[in-house]
Amino acid sequence: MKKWSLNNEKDVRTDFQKARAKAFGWPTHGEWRAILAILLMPLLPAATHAASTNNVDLSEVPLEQLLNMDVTILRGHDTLSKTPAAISVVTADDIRRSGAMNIPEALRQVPGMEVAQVNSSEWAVSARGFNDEFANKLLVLQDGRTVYSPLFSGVFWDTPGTMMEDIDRIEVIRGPGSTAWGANAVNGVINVITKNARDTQGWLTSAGAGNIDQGFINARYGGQFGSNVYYRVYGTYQNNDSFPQPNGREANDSWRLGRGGFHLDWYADEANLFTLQGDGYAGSMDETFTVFDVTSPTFTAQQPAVMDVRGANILGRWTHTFSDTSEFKAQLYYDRTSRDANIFAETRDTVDLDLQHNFALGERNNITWGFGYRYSTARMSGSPTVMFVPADDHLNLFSSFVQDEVTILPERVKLTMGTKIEHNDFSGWELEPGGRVAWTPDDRNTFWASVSRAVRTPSRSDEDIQFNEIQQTPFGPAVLQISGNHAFRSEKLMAYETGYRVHPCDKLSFDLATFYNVYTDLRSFKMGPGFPFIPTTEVNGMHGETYGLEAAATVELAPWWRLNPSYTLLKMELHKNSHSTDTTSAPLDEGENPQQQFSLHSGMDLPRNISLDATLRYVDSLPSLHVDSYVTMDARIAWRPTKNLELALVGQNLFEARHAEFRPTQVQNQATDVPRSFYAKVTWKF
Amino acid sequence: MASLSLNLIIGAAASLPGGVRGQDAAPSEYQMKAAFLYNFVKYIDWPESVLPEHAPLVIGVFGEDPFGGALDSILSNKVVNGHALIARHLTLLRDTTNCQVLFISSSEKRHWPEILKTLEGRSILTVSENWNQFTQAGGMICFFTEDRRVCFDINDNAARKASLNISSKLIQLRKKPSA
Repeated sequence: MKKWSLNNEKDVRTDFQKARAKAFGWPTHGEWRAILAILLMPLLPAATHAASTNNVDLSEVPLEQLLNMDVTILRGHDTLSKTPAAISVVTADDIRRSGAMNIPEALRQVPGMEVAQVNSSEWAVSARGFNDEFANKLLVLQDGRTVYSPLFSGVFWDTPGTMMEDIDRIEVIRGPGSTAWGANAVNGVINVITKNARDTQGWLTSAGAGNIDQGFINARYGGQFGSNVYYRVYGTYQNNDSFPQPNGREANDSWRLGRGGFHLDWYADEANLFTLQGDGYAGSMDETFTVFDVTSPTFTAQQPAVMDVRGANILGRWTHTFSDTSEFKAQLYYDRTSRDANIFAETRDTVDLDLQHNFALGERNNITWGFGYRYSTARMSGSPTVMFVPADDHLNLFSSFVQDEVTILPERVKLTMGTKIEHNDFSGWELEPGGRVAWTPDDRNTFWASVSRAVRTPSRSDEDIQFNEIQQTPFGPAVLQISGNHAFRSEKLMAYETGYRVHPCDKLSFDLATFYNVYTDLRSFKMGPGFPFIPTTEVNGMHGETYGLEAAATVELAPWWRLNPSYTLLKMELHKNSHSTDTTSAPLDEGENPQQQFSLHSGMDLPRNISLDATLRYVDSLPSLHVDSYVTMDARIAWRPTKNLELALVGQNLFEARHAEFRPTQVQNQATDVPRSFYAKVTWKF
Repeated sequence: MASLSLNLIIGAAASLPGGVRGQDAAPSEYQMKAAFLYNFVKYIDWPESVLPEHAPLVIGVFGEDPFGGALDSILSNKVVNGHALIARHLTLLRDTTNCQVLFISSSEKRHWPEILKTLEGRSILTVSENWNQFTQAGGMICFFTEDRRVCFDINDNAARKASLNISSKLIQLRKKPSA
């Protein structure tokens, strides 16, 4: 068996620098100069004025800008506090202060979310259990455009994304999504919402580098045509180094990705808003796959590869306001994604049309209904390691929903009932009804509860895949020849949730959500006789319950110091159905999720325009992957010498030189650890 | 390369003039609402008969005052379109007709139908907070908070009925509360 070199030949650092950086995770010489420069800046006379601790004079701030400023909320007037769902919002400010460079990093602090970095370019992200690189129970949207792949009902995390500074907020709802735009919102919905073009005017550029981030640059320009049309264009480029393997050597997982796009808003008149936006991206990821090789004594071979990813999308949206109580939205988008690795390639085109109408009926009812159609088609090519039969597909999805929000007792009790009805090519008709109730006894307290049914519809991986997975057994290597099953049914969920939010005083707020999920028809395997080639079929042979709670609080110790603790508890109890012979899937799936997670974020606004943020995080072990629990810290210190310039230094995963977060389970990639990393960043607006 | 360009940029920053802002403590919810009231006035036209040239423009707060001194301090010495701005605190219903903008505190929730009757036919901009779907009940502008930001919704039909002309620039900025 030929041995492949694992050294990344593009790395130009000297052997000494590389060895020191990898062994100690310390900044290199060049990075120290940058760090010292940033730390010494406050001492330079010309660039500093005495930082004003008085509030800025708001009468000097233009109206549009006032709308963008955060305030300290005095009472529980926040409309989000009355929502009968486990919702968290990651704001633009949270993203900036966390130093997150991509969407999975921005999700780490959200209670109930499991975010694990598999290698330099890949992530395993889920909510309330069932995490995996190919986690399939989470719906992810970017500006209303679905970014999950019908191949496995999950997300390739290089697909969604934009310039981080253009994200207005990320809404995370744990639990079945009620009026989400598409299918598969089983355990949660994530919607990444970018800013209006009006809020991103002028130039903004940022650039930086660190020990893992070999260099990144972002630039955006926003302007307007006349008085009603606002636009922006942006471009980003990121280049990341590889991660270490558990044995200390570098893995072959470095990557580079460029993105660009535009966003245009036309405020045609009081009642009509048109939006047109589009993005394109291209990049490549280094990988080393463990491929199926019939000629090898272990049936495996290590194959380094470069995976090319490319995509583009264009989306148009029309929002029409009929009256103060009635609004209509129509959205049409086209999306193309393409990925090409040596073991597998796919090019997928999707067209999606969605309509939604919201109106008040009488004094007590607020009705929302919607209809959507999606057509998705792909050309694929595979290899003995993984392929789909048939290779190409043409998938149709019809979905509709209706929801009524009834005011039972004005200001006190609201009941929301609705259902989603879908038809897909694999499992036919699916009905997902749900009900939610919210009780607000006064301005400070909200209690809510909900019951909903959700389904995870079959994907091409369930129906059409042909996949050779090599397992080491005491008798030698075995090859599970896994094939899809055209009789595979949807996985089903009945979710029972409750929650409580309280705002006892100005400086304290607390949010608690609990859930009890009952799953049936979960995916498991049926193995036939044979050795070493074991024919295996995917079946719906498992069921189970998951339950837990998510708690988060905001504590204002001082006007300039805020703490955000959060805690997540998850218990998973999966069982094989009585006639199933699969005794491995249940413990394997359970053990891929941490039982407890804790995080504590401290945000400080210090004098002289310095801000300091630190997040301590604890994640419990993943027993079936042999990944230990870990505690680590991310920190960011930033300085604004002028209102247009920000210098920041970010450290991530600071406690240990490296730690494991996940191990690949299905498509075998190299196992890597997440290293301690730093980067410095300059942001300039004008 | 990265560290070299950082040094260049830092060198340039040392000679840039500029005010210092951004890391100041965030304004409070009511400082922000006071700032909005001040700004609304710039985008609304009152009929000449109600607000003659050079007459003072009164912003009244009816009921419990949530602003602290924020409204008084933001309006002090301000003039918009030739009208000096004055803040007034009102406790009697009959005094509410003597202003051009009336902010109705949530302490007066229960009296809203009475207030609406008193203001009928008068060109007074009514502003309040998101209770009882204020704008659906005939109120003109309502504040609500979403995710640590203050937003507002506008019922321009009610404003037109009161002969108030709200500029489309202001209407563009309105937002619908999600609850």
